[in-house]
Amino acid sequence: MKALRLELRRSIAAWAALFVLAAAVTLVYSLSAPWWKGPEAWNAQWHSAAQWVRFLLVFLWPLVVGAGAIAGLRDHRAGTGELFGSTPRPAWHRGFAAAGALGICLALAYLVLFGIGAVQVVVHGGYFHLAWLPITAVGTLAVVAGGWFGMGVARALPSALTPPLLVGGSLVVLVFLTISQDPFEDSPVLPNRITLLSPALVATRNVYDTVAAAASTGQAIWLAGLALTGLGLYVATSARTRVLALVPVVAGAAMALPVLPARTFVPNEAASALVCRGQVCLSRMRESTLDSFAPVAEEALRLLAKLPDAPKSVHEVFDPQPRDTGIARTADVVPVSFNTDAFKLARSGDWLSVLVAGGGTPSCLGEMALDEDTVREAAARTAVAAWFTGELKPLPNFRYVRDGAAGPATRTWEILRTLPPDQQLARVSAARAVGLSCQGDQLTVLTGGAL
Amino acid sequence: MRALLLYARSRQVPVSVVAAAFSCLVVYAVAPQADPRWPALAITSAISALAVGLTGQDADLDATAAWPWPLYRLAHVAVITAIATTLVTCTAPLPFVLRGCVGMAGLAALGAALLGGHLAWALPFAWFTVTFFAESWLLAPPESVVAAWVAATFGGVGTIVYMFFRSSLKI
Repeated sequence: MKALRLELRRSIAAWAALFVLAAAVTLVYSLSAPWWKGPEAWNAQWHSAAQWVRFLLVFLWPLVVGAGAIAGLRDHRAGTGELFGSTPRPAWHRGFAAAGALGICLALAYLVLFGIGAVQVVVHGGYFHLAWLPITAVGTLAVVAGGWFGMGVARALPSALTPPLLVGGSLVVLVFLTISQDPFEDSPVLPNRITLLSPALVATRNVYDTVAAAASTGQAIWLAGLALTGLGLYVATSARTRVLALVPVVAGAAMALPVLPARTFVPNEAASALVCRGQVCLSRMRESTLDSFAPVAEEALRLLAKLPDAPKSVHEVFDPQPRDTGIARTADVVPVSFNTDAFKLARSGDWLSVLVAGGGTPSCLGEMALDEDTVREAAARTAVAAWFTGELKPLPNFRYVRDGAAGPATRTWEILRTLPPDQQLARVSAARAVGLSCQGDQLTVLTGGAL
Repeated sequence: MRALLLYARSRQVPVSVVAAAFSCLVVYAVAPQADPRWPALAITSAISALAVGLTGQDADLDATAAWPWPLYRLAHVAVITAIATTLVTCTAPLPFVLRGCVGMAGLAALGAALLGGHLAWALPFAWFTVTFFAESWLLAPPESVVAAWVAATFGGVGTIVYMFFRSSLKI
């Protein structure tokens, strides 16, 4: 115990942990990187905070391994190996104290980093669900395993070159494994269970997903094996014990690979269960938004009720793939996807126009495209929204074609307003039919072919 | 000549060169050529491996030698840059590699001045990480004039600090 206290106070363990934490905080705060954007931002939900911190391990884990390697080279640099070898105290006594101090400090650094995100999540009123717990537990185990692995390798191969080569090597392996984890990839480079040997997770894409229990279990087994091997290599004194120390990592990999799943993420049923108020249903995760959203959605349903086949309810939908256009199109439900630009970029004043745009149908072409068809669709949707709300303003989505669509939208609205009321309704209703089937062109239908 | 050979050996130059060449070979073997991040990684690894010799076994002992240290240190950084450039040119065009090596050698020299040679690799790797998310001279197209100047500034400032400043860190 006394040795551990001394190590905590006098070794580089605390400095290494502070350095890792400082590097992580600098990385997170100095860049306007994806972890600040949209509903998946790292300070928005418990799950996304946990997953973004795990994503950062792509860069932090090599750093942790390097810190472990520097700690493991201490005796080699000081040239005290022979001296300590001659003392009656067994090597693992000293080794456990040094490794324990590094493990404690690195684990604390990881938890503090997650804590910074979690405090902001609480302030923002994120939905509380325990899905963050296994993700963070595996991450904590990963930094401990990384530190011990670095210590062990540096003890087995003592050279000033060991830390930079370990950092470079683990960076290459982690970046390669983590980018291969991409779930959108049609032809994966590596089987998913191999990519899960990387302690880092991919960037958060969808807050309604969570890491499968099998993935966390398998990674925990594999990382525990890696940690034991590092520890064994660090305290080993003979070639035979060094070889024996490799057993846990091999056994860990052999046990983890059958457990690791083919898909990393599964839907989080509890978070995506629908909570309804009248005809308006949002997920449990968005429940706090319902107070401000429900009246707007009711108003949208009232406006849409003019249509012959008017929708009856507003429902949130989750992670449609492909994101913009894969939403299920049914006549009686207005779908809301908070993952699309339409709601990501909308302020609460924009919700009404977004809901009635296209007569309560989602976009057929995607909001990111730049082509002529997208301009026409954006103009048509803007004009229909204006017809319902009585006020022409650009929609918050279609950010790349918004300026080009403004002119046609104004002309369409003017053409539409000069018609007799029953013809206006017929054309808007026809545009809605195009939006539901994605067959045809909404702008042609609205203007009777004039545009 | 003998002094130079002994210096090279005490600063672990031979094994560093082998390690740098090995990391270039790995990148050359596995990397798709299209992405400039792979040659940038080769530059980072080569410079990091070569930078471990930027300080000796005992800084206090070195300081007592009647040698023109700033000159030696300037020459050491220049040689590192030249060796790394030669090794990495197998993965990317020369202007890109030279610019990257100059900037990264400056960062490594700064790291050696602040932390000591055995930790000098921390700054190049930190910079390489940042380039994943932010525009940087490291990944700019080879013909960019601004990137060349920024890299030269990194190289110059790092080398000058290293020439005249000695880390007192003892870890």
